[in-house]
Amino acid sequence: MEVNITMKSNVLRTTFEPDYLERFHLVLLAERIVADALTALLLINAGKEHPMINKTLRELRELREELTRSTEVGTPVSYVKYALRRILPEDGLPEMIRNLDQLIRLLDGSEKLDDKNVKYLVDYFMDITRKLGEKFKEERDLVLGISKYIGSYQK
Amino acid sequence: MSLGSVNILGVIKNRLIETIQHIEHTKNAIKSVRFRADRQEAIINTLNNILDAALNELLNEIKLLEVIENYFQSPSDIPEEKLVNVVKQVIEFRSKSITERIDYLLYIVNRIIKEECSSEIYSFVNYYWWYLIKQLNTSQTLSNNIRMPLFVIVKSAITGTVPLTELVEQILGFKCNFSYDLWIIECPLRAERYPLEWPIILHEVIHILHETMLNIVSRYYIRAPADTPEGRRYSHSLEYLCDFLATQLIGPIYPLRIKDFYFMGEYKISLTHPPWTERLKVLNEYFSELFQKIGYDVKSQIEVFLNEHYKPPEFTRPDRLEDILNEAVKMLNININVSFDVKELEYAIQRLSKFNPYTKDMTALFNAAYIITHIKGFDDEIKRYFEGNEQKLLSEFFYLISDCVRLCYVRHLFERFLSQDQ
Repeated sequence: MEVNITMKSNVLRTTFEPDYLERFHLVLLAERIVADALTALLLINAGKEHPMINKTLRELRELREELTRSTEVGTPVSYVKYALRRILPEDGLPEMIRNLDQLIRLLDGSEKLDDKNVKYLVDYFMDITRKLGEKFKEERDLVLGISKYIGSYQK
Repeated sequence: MSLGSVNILGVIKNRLIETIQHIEHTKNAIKSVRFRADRQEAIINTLNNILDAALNELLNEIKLLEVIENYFQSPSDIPEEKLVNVVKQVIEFRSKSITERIDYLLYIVNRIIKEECSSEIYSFVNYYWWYLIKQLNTSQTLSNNIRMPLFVIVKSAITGTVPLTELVEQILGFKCNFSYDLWIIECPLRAERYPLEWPIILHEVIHILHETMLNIVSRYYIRAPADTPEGRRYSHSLEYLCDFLATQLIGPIYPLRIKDFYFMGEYKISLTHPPWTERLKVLNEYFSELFQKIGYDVKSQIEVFLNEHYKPPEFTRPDRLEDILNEAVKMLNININVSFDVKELEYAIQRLSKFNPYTKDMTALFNAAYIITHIKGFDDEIKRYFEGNEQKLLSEFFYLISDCVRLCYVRHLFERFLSQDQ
């Protein structure tokens, strides 16, 4: 499947065949981004500095840009956005963007955080990755199941 | 309550250290592998770079865990009780994410090490790969600073392509400066002993050529998910293009194999792929002159099949498809309708139907093998020799074809060497 992503963003520029490989990769990608973002949030919450915070901020800003980009005919549609649409309710994308905005503001220090906010955002983004994992469980089984198939064939 | 008291960080650190050992083990395994792929040294270096990137990621992760451990050691840093579980949850999730990514990477690298396809399949693919590169050079499409991609062909349950270096950098998130792009071609296991299955691998080779050197389709359509009209136009165009160029390379055996083995009337492969009958119809439109020229009822076989099975597709053909295919012809300076040598095919059929080796032209070899096994049959003397044991006859014949592939490639290498010498 083709994905529209530049080297700057988190999206691929290239082809994975068959296309379920791509959906499996999306889950891995989303989990990585969320894991980094939430770790950065915890470090900030503890009042600590770490180089990963800036890296994560950069990545989250690119993701926000991608999610807020127009999807009219003639403009690129990212795979991340497409996948999120599949797991989010009708009004889910704006909520996602709002939470992403808040996460970015907390990480760059433009909004003061409290424990309640931290817990809410952790729960929200963990829930997103859980839903992604459930939605694409079949894809994960297909990709990782192949290893079992080849293993048993060789025996 | 400190995080240390539940020892979660210690447990995760040990898991990461164990994963480092698995990576070291895989690095050692690479040292003793002799790859069948071309440019072995570059492949080994790239795989080592990938594993080093994963190692670095793990070492950084361990450092980060130590930082977190230190942060939460002084009483003033202990989070509120209700946040302790949140912190543990995030750290566990983080460790699951990184170990899963590394497990997946090790699975892929180990498949490359242990599951490479036969050297005959490489001979077949390399023959056409270098032909395509030569054509690009001739038409001056190839810029001097192009980074020629590497590829390995791996036995699989599926057919497809995976850009490994891009996967490592962009999905798995391991930082690396690669000198080359390394691609994996997933090749169905059944192809190992059945050379007539090999033409379909050319479709995958052209995917790689397109992504790394041609990039035609993106000049006409926007890349997007296939469930959007734009994405569908892009991905369908790409599939038609790969079929079209595969047929330009190897001739009628490609559409004949689609008809024989891949066609399904109702089941759709995925949104990214147009239906098989439409793919076959496109090929028939562009190559019917060639099918007619070859004879042996090739043209009528395909047309009868299409008459029986063709249904208009759910999505119409991309409107710029003709431009895309024409541009590919121009870039590669390729036209099998004109260049196909029917006399050479006849000569190959004559040799092979008597079980005599044929080593000159790969395209003639494969089409002759198809025509003998599916249309014309073997020489009477050969049939008598095998006394009606068709299974043994075909098995021996495909061994012969595999040997001929290797010899065709050796001959091609020798000719390449001679032309460079001049």
